[in-house]
Amino acid sequence: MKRVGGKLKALAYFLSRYRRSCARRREGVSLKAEAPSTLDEGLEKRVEPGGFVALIDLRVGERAEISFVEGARAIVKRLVDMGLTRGTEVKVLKVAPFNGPIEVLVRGSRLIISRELASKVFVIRKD
Amino acid sequence: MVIMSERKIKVALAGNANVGKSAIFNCLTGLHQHIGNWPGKTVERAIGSLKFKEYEIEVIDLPGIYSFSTFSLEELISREYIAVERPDVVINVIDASVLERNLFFALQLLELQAPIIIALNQVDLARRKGINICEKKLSDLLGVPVISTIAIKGVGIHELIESVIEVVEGKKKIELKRIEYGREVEDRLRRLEDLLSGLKTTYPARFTALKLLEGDEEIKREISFINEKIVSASERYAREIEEIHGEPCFSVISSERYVVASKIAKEVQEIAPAKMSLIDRVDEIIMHKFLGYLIMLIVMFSVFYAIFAFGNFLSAMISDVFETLKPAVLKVEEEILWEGAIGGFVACITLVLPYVLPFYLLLTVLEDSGYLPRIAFLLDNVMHKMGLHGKAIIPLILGYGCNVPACYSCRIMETQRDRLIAAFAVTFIPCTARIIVILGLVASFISMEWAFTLLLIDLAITFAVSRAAFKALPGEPIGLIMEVHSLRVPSINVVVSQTWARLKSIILLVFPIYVIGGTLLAIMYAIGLLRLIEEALAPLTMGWLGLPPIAGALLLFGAVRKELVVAMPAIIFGTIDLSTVFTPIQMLVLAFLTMIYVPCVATYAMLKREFGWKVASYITIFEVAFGLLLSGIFYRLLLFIGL
Ligand SMILES: Nc1nc2c(ncn2[C@@H]2O[C@H](COP(=O)(O)OP(=O)(O)OP(=O)(O)O)[C@@H](O)[C@H]2O)c(=O)[nH]1
Ligand SMILES: [Mg+2]
Repeated sequence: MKRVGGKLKALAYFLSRYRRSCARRREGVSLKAEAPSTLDEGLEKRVEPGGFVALIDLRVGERAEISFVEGARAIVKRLVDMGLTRGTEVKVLKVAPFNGPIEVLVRGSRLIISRELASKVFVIRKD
Repeated sequence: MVIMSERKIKVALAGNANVGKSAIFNCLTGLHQHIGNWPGKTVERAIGSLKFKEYEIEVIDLPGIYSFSTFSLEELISREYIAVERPDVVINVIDASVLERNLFFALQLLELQAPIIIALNQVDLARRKGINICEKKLSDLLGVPVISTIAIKGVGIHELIESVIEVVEGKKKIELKRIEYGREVEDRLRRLEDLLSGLKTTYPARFTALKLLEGDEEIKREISFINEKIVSASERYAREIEEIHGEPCFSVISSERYVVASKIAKEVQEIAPAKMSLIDRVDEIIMHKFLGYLIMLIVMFSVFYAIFAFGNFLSAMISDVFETLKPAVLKVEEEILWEGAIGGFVACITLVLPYVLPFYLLLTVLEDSGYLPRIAFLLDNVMHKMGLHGKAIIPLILGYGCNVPACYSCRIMETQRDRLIAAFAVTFIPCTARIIVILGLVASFISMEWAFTLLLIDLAITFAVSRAAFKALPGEPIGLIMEVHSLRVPSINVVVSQTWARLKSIILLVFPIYVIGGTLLAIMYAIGLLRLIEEALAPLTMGWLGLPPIAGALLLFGAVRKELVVAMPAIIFGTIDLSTVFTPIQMLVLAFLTMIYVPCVATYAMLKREFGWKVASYITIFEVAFGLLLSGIFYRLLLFIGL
């Protein structure tokens, strides 16, 4: 029940973000941040109910793209600072048994993330 | 002749966790800071120095962090150190095998406008992974000098320090490049920068502006003292950015910074597809969902078994040698001195070295291989039952070596509450001193099985008390998130020097205590003071625990160093054969009691330092009462099964 609620909230959040998001200017300056391009381009075909899953629900070997992180400020900040930002690709390397944590590959480094935290990270599956 | 006066300069080492900062620090200063392959070893800044040319260089090793927010104490320590103390150079140590993540931090240092030199460390490991980084390009893109290093072999360290001097002398210019954010952020950032310009702030204007947008409480407070309006403007801007992007402003900023980091990483590194090496296979197996647990049990069992078997053998050999050295006829005063001082010395050699040395050696090997974070992964949910998370297994394992540094390393836990529960649990873990007692009493005179049984019972007790503490202290642990670094074959250099450093500190601590303690005990024995203590404690020791009267004195001395519990009877009764002093049941009870009855003086001091004397005293009082209670029950249980 809790998880379904989370998903609905997630969807609403993401849709509102999409509506408001405005076009971003892009230039090729070397130290300039550009929005991760895949996100806006691929958005239309991806936003459909059920498109989001929590990171914890992925199977070993699956790849996905991060949509957003939900939760208290401190937690979101920590996850984001560890590189789990929107548009980033993650791959699940291992899932520990007995409801244990997962290990993911993100930005070329490996992270262990506990079940509670990984269920706050919402992703879109990649084929 | 001109005598050059020495110039003092300050150099700080900063960077992500586990990148090799302390390894470089040790190289530079010749000190022995804690090195190992898991993130979060250095928790306070360490200071050392070296002389190079006409410079007296003070080197500061900072804790490893991922960002400069104020959610953890370590981040705040590092940020303030760099901004307030203003070191002449900040060496940003980077793990070349995970460049992108490390650049995220480097960019923040850039924003702090620190004079940076990058030490591109662990290039050997990166190369093995097929990663090749172009120093020159990186240097150009960031506008700072970049030196490749392999800290554990000392490669590149000389160039690094040369380059520090060149920067200080102005021969090498640092021209920090500026990161540009997306338009929505950048516009507002500039406006804030304008508002801030000319004000005296702890941090540079752009950094302050960024942190204001991120909603950093510390900096908001600082600026609100100067000009309330700037803070409210920043709050408005942050809301606007949030509206546009649909995610919190700090999240947008981190995202965009990561985009830059990622871009630079792509630009400067070439990644050749690497084959799966043997060590990767081993990594797969030790983290495997079934085999992993099996291997963990085997490793743990083998470590203890090896220590028990090897230690017993060596200890017996050494004590034989000493027995033959002992002079035959002695006068009374000489007897006291011999038994006391020399006896203490012998006890140290025969007990400490054979067990402590191999134990520390194995522990260091485990630590430097990178096995500990993998155990944290496997045992995360077990640790949850104790109210902690996977990371807490690391201090617990270190606790088997010595509780003191283990309590200290509880700082890898995120909140004070978690740290406290973890440290409390650590004090129940039998350190080498207590293992010596178990060995000296139980393994030598009863059986190996009983020794292992005691260890298992203790593990169960640790679990139970920690769970009880978790129920008593409200709050949830923040979940586990930890970077896993590559498994590696431990470097012999590191293992030897780390083991030696730890052994040395133990010997320096233990020898005087043994010798003084031994002499003191012999004198107390001679003047009859011992008898008084024994009689006073007799109802407890003899009545409740069924121990011989001497136990009262042993337990008092044991609170100073736990091994004294076995070393002292050897001194007093002049024999290594303790079976003439204790019955098997008494040995078991005494060993059991020693495992839990009180934190030793050094552990108490560490607890006091970390949590205050009140908490330390509560823990001590609890453990004394709890230890006595359980031991009495244990004694009656043993009587019941009729050993
Ligand atoms: N192969 C290789 N290993 C290295 C190198 N430098 C350090 N290491 C290893 O990397 C691990 C971490 O080194 P530390 O010096 O403890 O790292 P740190 O940055 O001080 O870590 P924290 O204090 O936990 O933040 C240890 O296992 C070292 O032996 C290197 O150049 N090459
Ligand atoms: Mg360190």
